[in-house]
Amino acid sequence: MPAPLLVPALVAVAFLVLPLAGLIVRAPWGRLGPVLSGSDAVQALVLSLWTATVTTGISLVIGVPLAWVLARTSFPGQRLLRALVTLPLVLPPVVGGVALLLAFGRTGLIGRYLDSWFGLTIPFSPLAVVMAETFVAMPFLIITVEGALRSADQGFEEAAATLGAGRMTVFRRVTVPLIAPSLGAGAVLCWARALGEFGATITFAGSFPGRTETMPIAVYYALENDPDAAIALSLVLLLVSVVVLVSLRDRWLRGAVQ
Amino acid sequence: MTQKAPGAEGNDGLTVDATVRRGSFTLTITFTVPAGQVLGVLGPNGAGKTTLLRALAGLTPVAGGQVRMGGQVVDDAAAGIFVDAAQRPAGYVFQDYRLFPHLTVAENVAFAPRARGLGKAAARQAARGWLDRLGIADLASRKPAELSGGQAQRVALARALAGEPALLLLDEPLAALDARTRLDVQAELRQHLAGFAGPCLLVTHDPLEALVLADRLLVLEDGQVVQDGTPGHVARRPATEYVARLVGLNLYAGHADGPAVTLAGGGAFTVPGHGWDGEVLVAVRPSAITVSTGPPQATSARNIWAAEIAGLTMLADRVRLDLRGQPPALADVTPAAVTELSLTPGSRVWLSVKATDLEVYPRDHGGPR
Repeated sequence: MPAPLLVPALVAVAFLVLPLAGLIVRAPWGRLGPVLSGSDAVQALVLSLWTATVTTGISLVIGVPLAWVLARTSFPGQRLLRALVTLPLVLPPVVGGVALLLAFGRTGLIGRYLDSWFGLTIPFSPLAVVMAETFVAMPFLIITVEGALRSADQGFEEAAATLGAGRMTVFRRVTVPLIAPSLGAGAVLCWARALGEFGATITFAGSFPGRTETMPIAVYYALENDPDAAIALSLVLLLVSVVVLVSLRDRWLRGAVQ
Repeated sequence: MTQKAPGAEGNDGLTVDATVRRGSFTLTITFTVPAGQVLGVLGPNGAGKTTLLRALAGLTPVAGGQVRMGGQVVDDAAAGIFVDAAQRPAGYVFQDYRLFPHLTVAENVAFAPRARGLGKAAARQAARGWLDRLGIADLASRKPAELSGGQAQRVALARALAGEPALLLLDEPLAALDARTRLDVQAELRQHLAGFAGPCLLVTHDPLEALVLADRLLVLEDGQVVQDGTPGHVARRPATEYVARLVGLNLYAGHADGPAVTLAGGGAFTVPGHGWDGEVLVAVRPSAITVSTGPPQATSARNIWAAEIAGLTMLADRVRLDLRGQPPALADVTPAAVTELSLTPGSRVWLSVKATDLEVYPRDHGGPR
């Protein structure tokens, strides 16, 4: 192995692994139980898990059809549309939060009507958490699935059509099963991104413990007044990430790479 | 279990009079296929064979004209009629089979019955029937990745037939198989095609496959029909250089004036009593040409000309000579003759052919329908 490649590679490994090692070394292993139970850890974790899961479900329901439209149809302005819906990938999440606030806030573009007509106030509610996470995470699912749809062999879909299957049957029985590995990978990416969402969530949903305070936000606040709790909470998030990675890796991620 | 012959009832065959465009390529084609007939579609790569099948299946729209199958108009460009692929009574066996990789063989074959609205159990039973019929019931629970080429071909045919199509389309059904399997599957395929009551189109570029499997041949070149006739007719009287090469004949274009035929590429033949005047084609088998090292003396052949050997190719049991002369020719001799006459590239030889071995026929003919 040539040194000009090996040395930077080792630096990269050190940079990625050392902080995680530091987290594990500094963890208050002896007092982990009391520290966690004394904080908002459990309710924050529960909130994070269910909002990330709901976000992934919503993204599958509306994001996969959008990926299909982007991959399989052509219409004027399609490139612009693709750029717009994938913009959140590069947009600072805080900006996304501000945008959501301006659209769905009590005096926002749409929010004012929701408020005056239905008495519905979205910001600073669990619904706002889900919306912020969806805004940030769904594009990950969309681009993954769109790429899979583009590279999938459309010959199978043609064969299904000649066998009498209508467009929806083809989609359900041929297209989706064929891109299942990418669909799984996209869903995992989306879920993980939603789980870690911070900027858009704290801007649009705030940080009310038990209502809108997700794990990352809980970690952030704990670091100010109780560093040990912050480390313990971080450990929990790290554990969840590792579990997800290990349990899904063999089934989906590897298939998506092939 | 009794199963009616598929594609049978109310089938008035296939009628095509259409123009199909694909990029800058245009296919213009008119033909009919009666129910029960297997039409072999033969042609070089890029002739439009697959484009034709795709248009008939509804995967590519026609740009003009009309297509009728199974008693209904499925394409009529002028009237704005285009029946979607899913709605067409056409079964398609793709060259690469396109078996759904995530479904078992049984599920693949049950796909069409399911798509047609049959319940799960009924569709499975229908699939079972087809698997039995094609002798592949033991493959039912396998995935396509676990099949050999010959097995995949059978499954693809079963899957297409399970849709009970009024028209069967096969795109190079044996091309993906190795030589040995091809012979087995070919014999079997012939049986299954005979059992199919509707019209059948079989695309191939293998003349032998076409001769064995088809009742009639349609030769496409460059988006046009260049010949349409029985396999025997096409093999005896090829209409173009391409067809002649396929069936292994020498073919010359010329002008007939009585028994004298002046060839367009130089040279002449004398063929008494062929009965045609004007533009004609002359076909001759390479084995009908006699090769000698001197001018033949005692011969009844009236067509004698000098040539030079450009090359020799060993065929199974004979040697094919590529001869430069007026006209040029391919001639077959025995390996023994090659040594006895010491034939090598550059050798000067005399060629002779009997008038009765020269098949003379008019140039623009579609052949008997």
